[in-house]
Amino acid sequence: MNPEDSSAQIQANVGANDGGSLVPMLLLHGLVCVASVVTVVDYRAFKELESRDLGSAEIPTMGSLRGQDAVSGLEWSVRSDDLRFVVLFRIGAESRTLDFWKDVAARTRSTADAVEFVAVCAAPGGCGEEVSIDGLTTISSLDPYQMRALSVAESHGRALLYRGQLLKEAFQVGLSPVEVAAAVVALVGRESEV
Amino acid sequence: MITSPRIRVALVIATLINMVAISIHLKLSHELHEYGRGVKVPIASGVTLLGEKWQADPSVRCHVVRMTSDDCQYCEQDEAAYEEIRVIAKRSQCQVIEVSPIAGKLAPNLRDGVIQLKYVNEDLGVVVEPFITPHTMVLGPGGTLVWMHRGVMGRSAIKDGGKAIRSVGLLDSG
Repeated sequence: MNPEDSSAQIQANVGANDGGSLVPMLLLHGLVCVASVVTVVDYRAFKELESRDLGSAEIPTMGSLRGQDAVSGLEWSVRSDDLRFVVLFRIGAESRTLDFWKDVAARTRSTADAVEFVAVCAAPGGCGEEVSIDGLTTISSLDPYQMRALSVAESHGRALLYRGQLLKEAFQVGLSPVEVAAAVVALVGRESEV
Repeated sequence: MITSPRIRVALVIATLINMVAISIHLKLSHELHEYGRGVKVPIASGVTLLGEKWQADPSVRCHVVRMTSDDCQYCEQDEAAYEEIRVIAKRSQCQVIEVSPIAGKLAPNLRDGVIQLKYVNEDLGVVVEPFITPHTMVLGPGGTLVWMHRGVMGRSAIKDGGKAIRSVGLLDSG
């Protein structure tokens, strides 16, 4: 065999192999690129869905503690320079009842005077008859931001403790009024020292 | 023809990964599109900017809820699109509810068929998303959420929103 013919044959084979592996390699790169882009898009979509989920959302700390008193119909608010403590919670079918919170308020009042308990009624008239206990207010509406904060807290079984307009703590609501009152007193005591 | 077994295996794996990623993508896209639909606002109520108690009239078949704020530049940008939605809502006898995320961020602007709220009850408060302005949604009979759009509305959003309003509203000839 002529050595020149042999060399030409080898070069032709190499060329054919290059062409043969180039297309699959390009295809492979293309598939990897598509998979990467789709994965990034999926991740963003997943994060967006997660952010819409009330249960996993974070409780917003800003807002305005203002709303409408369910009994008098007057505006209820906490001024930004007001340093009193406010415990905000929801009264609804699945929540602790108003009587439960009345008990908590009464127990807390004996040790921590400057706490106002504010119940948000889940539906018009949801808090029932006029509340006759000092330091417990029922309100029927809040601004959307604050209502969202409360809904997120509620979905975690928590109530919110404010000092003035500032959210200090989203605390777990215990099973008994004694337990909740003790938790509120402890939190108020801790925040008062700060 | 693919001669190398390694490349062949790599291609099969890459194809499988793509199929999984695309399936997840289709599922998430569907979930995002359908998110919130069917959620109910049984009784929408609140307090108007003028301090009056307000409760949705049960005889009104549909409501357009608009989360907006005077200091939100995207809301300003979206005003023309929102105006179109408002016109369709008015023609379809739907009531428009405007609300800002935080009380005091909306100047009173009296218009026929539009109610502006500063406080909302829990039913409405749970559905509206105060973190996103602008934000537009359509509630059908019984307060069922039938459409919503987060952010500035483009042509397709106006078209979809209009279609949603017409589907639940009344007497729309346009």
